[in-house]
Amino acid sequence: MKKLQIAGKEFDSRLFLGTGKFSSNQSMRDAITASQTQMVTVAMKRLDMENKEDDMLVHIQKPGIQLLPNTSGVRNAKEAVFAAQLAREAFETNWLKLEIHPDPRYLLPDPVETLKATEELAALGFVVLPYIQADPVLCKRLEEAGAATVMPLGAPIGTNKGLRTRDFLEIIIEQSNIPVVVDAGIGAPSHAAAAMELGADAVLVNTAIAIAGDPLAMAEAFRLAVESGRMAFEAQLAGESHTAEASSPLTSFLR
Amino acid sequence: MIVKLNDKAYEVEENTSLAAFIENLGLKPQGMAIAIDHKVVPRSKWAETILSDSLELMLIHAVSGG
Repeated sequence: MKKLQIAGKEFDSRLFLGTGKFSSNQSMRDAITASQTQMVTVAMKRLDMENKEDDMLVHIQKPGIQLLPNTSGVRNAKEAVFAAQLAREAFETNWLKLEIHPDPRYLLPDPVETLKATEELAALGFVVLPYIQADPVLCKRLEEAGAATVMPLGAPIGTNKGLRTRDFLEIIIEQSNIPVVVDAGIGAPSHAAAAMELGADAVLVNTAIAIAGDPLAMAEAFRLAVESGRMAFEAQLAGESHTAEASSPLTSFLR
Repeated sequence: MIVKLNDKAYEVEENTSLAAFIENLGLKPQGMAIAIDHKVVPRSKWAETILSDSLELMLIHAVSGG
């Protein structure tokens, strides 16, 4: 299968993994291994001196894994640029999942602030992967602004509803000159496979794996689904037809 | 003198560097970032950054997230 390329870096795996909501660091670590992911997201928080938590980075940082810090918690472009600079310092990477979602109920990304932040961050040398609504026009604007990928949502974060934006994802994939990563809403391996069959370059999965009954097995199921979907896309799916198309000869051999 | 770290006040001696302050708190500098007045202080400058009275520091660290 073709390797994924983002900002000149090659990835064998097309499954990006989020690290939120796992019941333990061990469970997260097992899922990372089973998924064979090479891109793992992390978030940032103010350190609470009263309640110091374990350093979770030791469970993630491995050769071959690109850390992707996110800007979760910021409300506008200005805060996002500040968060990006903190992330670059803390994680020693200029890669960034840009997410600006001021509304906590639906966590939908703010397109105006995201575009503004992408322009600024790309100019500052960040590799920007913006999380956005599945809006084909916005995706082109982000591409022009210097985004390394676009990451349109399938459904709101953590809902596991699948590719509710399918028709728009198809347009985005058709038009994009940068990789398209379907982020958010992917709740089952079949959703991930469907995104890959559409021609998405990668998918980002978190909740569906983290809160599954068996996160390790689910991580493997997603790995297989992403590989299978990508393989199907590269093999070029057979077209659909309204009427039946015989796959066996219709000769009347009984007469 | 007093400096604030994530809104909590700390008594520190004059001429304390940022690096010494962090070390005295028992923190490992890996995987964290510090900003003073909304400006990130690169790790390479921690030793030469001398704290002054009423300074407000923000310290962030890695947590899990999607």
